[in-house]
Amino acid sequence: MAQNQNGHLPIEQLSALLDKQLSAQEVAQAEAHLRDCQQCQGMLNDLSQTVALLHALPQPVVPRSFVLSPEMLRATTPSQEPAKPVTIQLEERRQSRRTPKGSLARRSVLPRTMQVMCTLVALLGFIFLLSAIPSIPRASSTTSSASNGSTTAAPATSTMAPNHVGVKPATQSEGTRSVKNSTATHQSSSTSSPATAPATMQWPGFLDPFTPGGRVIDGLILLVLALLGLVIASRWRRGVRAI
Amino acid sequence: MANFTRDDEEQLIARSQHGDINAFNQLVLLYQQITYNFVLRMVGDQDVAADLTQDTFIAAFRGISSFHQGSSFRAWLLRIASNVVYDYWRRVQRRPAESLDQLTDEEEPRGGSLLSTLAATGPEENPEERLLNQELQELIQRGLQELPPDQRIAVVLCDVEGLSYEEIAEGTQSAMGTVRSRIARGRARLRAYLAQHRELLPRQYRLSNE
Repeated sequence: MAQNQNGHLPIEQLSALLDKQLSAQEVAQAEAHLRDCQQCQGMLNDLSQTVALLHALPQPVVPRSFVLSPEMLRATTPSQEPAKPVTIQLEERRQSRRTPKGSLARRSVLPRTMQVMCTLVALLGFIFLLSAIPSIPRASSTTSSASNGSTTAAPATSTMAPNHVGVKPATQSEGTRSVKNSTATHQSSSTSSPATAPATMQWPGFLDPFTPGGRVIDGLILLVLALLGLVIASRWRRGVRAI
Repeated sequence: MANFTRDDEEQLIARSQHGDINAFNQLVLLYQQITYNFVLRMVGDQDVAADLTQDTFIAAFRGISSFHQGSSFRAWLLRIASNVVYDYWRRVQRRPAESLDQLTDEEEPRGGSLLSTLAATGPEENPEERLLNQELQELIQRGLQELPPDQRIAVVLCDVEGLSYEEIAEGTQSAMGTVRSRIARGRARLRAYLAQHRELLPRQYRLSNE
């Protein structure tokens, strides 16, 4: 007899018994077991109650006639036909909430780009400031190594770094020997200006990047601009996120 | 349907197979109650069920040439309805909850008659003659929604639509053994669901302390 490992009738057997789907022999065996087994009797009773409940479900009222019209058949494939049911509407709403998010993501790229650019500008200003330091007092080994560290890090952080930022660490790392490579005739060799910078270019006196004082002012201007840009960018991003 | 003989139905099918939409619409009128009922029990939403029922008849008319005379038109139609329902589930990507998956048949409590007071208060009372109240209907519907699709289709076809095992096997294109097993597992799960939620049942259906 088909009993499960607990020695009881399998659910399948009980369910099939309800539907008279067992052979006469199986029925006899099942009934023999059921006579002695309270548990299986209970389960059979539960299954039959469940079936009775399903049978007792009232037939729903058909909401409309489903008679076909020629228009229906002319319409597109039936799988695309179904009008928007509730759950699809939910799905769509979820999607429509998602789509603007996608465009928001695209929009938030702009402020992020701005932030990156501002950071670079700030770095540049910082470099200007630092580069002015060694020439104001006599360059101490600690400050020059510090400036070296920060400038060599600069190009690594960005690929968009302007030319002279990239040039600078090379010339600085070579220390005083960079004078040879540089066209600059200035005394402060460790902070020599890039080779590409035209020496003949006219600068207003206080902005002249080839004098330490000018570099300090340039650096400060760049830093202020960059900080301003960063503030604007972060507000922008927050604004975008809040939409 | 009472006035219709099988010959009438075969004639209507034959005419439909030749593109006679009026003949097919007579079949629609005959089967729309069964189809709508089935689809509603599958998806649980009246508007969705109405749309899917319409889709079923459109698909049935388009595919009626594939129907073989002599087999069960009801099973064939409900097979199309099942496919339409499956397509719908795929579209909304809302698979029936699998929350009862861990409840295998073997793990289910077998003690006592948990549902003894659910459907009938006495053996002499025929539950089919008593209209279930709204709350209980909704509970049963939610229980059906919990079943995996294969089991739900089998149970609804068997216990709601009253199809024979043979018709279900034909309609779902499965072996008899598979049908038997799906019906059994579906019923067992539904029973477990109802037993779990017996506190939601109306007072007269609540279980006595056992």
